[in-house]
Parts: sequence; structure tokens; C-alpha cells
Amino acid sequence: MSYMLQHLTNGWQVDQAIMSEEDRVLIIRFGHDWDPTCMVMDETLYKCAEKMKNFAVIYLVDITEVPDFNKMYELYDPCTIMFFYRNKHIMIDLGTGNNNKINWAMEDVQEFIDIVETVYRGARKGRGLVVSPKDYSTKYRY
Amino acid sequence: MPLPAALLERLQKRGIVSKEEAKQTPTSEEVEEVFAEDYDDPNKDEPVEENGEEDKDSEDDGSVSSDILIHEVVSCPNKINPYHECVDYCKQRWGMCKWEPDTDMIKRRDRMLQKYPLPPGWKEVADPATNRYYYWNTQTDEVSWLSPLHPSVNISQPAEKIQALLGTIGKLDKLDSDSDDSDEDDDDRRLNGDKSDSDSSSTSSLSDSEDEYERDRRRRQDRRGRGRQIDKRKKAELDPMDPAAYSDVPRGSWSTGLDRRGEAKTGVDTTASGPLFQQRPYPSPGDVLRANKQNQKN
Repeated sequence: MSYMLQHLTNGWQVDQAIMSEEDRVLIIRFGHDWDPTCMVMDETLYKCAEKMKNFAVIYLVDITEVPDFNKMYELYDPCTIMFFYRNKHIMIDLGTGNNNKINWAMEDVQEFIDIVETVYRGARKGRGLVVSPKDYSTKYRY
Repeated sequence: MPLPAALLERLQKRGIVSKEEAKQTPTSEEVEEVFAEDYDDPNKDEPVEENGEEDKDSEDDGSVSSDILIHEVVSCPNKINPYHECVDYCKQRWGMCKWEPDTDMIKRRDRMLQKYPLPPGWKEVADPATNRYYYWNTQTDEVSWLSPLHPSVNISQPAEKIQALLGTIGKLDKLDSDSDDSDEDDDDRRLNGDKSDSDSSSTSSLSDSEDEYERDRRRRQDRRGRGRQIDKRKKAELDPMDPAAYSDVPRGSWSTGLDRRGEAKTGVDTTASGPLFQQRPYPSPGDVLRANKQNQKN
């Protein structure tokens, strides 16, 4: 479903997209459209895009096409979701140890919407770090 | 016969000689003046030169053994300055150093002389610059601060002679910077130092255990040469693999040469780990682009 979502094809577009968004959370998916992990994630993103259009906007960035952020954002996972609000990176404590991004594919739409809503509420209050409603640490998986 | 000044002073302090009697007897200043008059006669052109003058003195006072020989020192405030050479004007303007023996020093000296009496041919000479006595061999023209029989005595050539031998200041400096040469050399230097910074040395610790005095001397010597020593040490510690050792780059600090890119302000702190790793936000995309551009420029 990646063709239904808007792509950003260079660094400047990424910058402008973030700068122009005043009161919505910016969700950027870094990865490749052909990646199976990304395909799963894009599906979820497409499904929830309509539902959270009032407080979030979604963009896709091909990390091969736009390699500018690979080093700084440490983009070495097949699929990475990052949140920005008013030109500021918002961290989420997911319990994984890496608060900067979601680097796995989420299949549950509601789960993702909950996370984005938490990010939005926290960011509106000026928080740089929000706590995810669900703990994704491995200790609950096994 | 008038009493020697030092003895008179000591007797006065003990109350054996009254003040009136003391006034009648010629004071030490008068004795000094006699020497000062004598001083002009010798054919020496350098006023600080002591040897010839002392020879003369010893000839004069050979009979009057109770009088103190005084090594004339111009009390010029500039005499510590190695670049200054005292001229006749210095003498006119500042006069000679006054010989003011310390009772404590006299006591100690007496004790030392009791233990180690002067052998024949040696004379005791007062040095007004340090307010101490030194001992001078009339035959060989050697000097020492201690009685020549003292176990830790250092008999050496007079400072003036050494200075004349060395001549220029540059040579003197070189001698100073040499850390450890022969013992003789060290001794000479010590003597030199003594004569040159004489006014600062108010040490009158002429004790039986001269080690204390020696130590003090060394310490002072060290203080003088410390700056140079530190420089030397710095140079010695320079690692031959340090680029500063083989090129013109200045010596760096410990952080010089570390990768400055990706600093916490503009980029990610790549060195963070543990809880710190979880607390580091990424810079905004605009900042990232700017940082990239900066890095490309550099």
C-alpha cells in the first residue's frame, strides 16, 4: 500500500515537510518499499492514516534514495518509524531500550494509533520523551 | 688595644662591657672605613674583586690578628643582576655593605671553630653580603664557607675568579643549565650563586651540622633553575611518535585529533550507551542536512 502514501524523495523535502507541519505529528517511515518488513508496516500505516489525519501525517522515505539521514539517525534496520513534532524529534519509551524509533513492523492498527496519540499528547505538552501505552520489551513476549 | 667589633658586641650583650666603653672603642664601621680606604689603592679596576685587596689586607693586618678581615661588597641593589657590573659610581652612591654579625651565627661559628680550628695559612674573613664568615687560604687563595677541617667542607676557588674564568654571562647561563656535572663544578656554581644573590641570603645558620645550610643553598639554587628544568622535562617527555616531535604542529591536548563530527549538539552522540543511549534525541532533519553540508565542506 506504499503507493497510497506520500513519498519524500530528497532531504530538503523531508526538512520542508517537517517545517511546514504546525500542529500535527509527523510520522516518517524510513526503509524500502520493496522490503517485506516495510510492506507490513506500510499496510498498517495506510489503514490508520485516514483515522489520525487530524493529529498526524505520514510520509515514506526511501533510505537508498535519501541517504542523508542514514548516518545520523542510525538507519540500519529494514524498517524504521520516527516521530517529529514542530521540527523536533520525539522519543517514545517502548521498553526496547531504543527510545528513538520503532524498528519493527507493527501489524495491529489500534496499537499504532495509540502510540501516535500518546506521542501527540506528550509533544503538545512539550515533552521530548513519551512513554508508550504498551511495553514492547522482550520480557513480555516470552 | 681596642676590642674587635664582634667581640665587643657580644660582651655588650652579656653586660660585661658598658655602652660608654663601647663608644670609646672604635666601632666596626670605622674599621670598615679603613678597609674602604685601602680598597681604592689596589690596582684592581673591578670593585667587587676581592682577592688582591684581601692579600693587601692580610699583609696589613698580619700583626693585628684580632681585627676581622672584611670582604668588601658594594651594597648596590643591582648586584644580583647578572647583567650589571658595579662601577665606581655604585660604590659612591650605595657605599659598602655593613658587617652586622648575628649573635646566633657567632655562637655557631665559635662552636665550629672549637671543634675544627683553622689550620695555619687560613684566615677568617667576614662577608657583609651574607653576614657570615668564610675561610680563606692565604697561600693557595682558596675559600670555603666552613672550617677547612670540617668533614663536609667544600673548598673552592673564589667566586670572582670563577666568574673571571667564565667571562661572559652566556657561559654562566650554560653552566647553570647543566644539571649535573662534576662535584667541583656544582660547588663553584653554588659559590657563584651565593655571591650573586647575596642580599637575599639572610641565612646565618652556621651550625655544626652544615647539612641544613647546604640544603637551604640547594633549595635556593633549585628555585632559580626551576623554570628551565620544567622546560627540559617537558621536552624530554615528548613522545617521538607525537606529530609535534617531528613536524611543526603544536603539541595537542588529549582530545586533539578525536573525530569532531556527530557531536551531541549537531548530531547523535554515538558514544552514548546504556541509559544515556535511551535519552538522546536525534537532531531535526534540517540540522542533519546542515551538519552533513558542514562535514562535506571540512
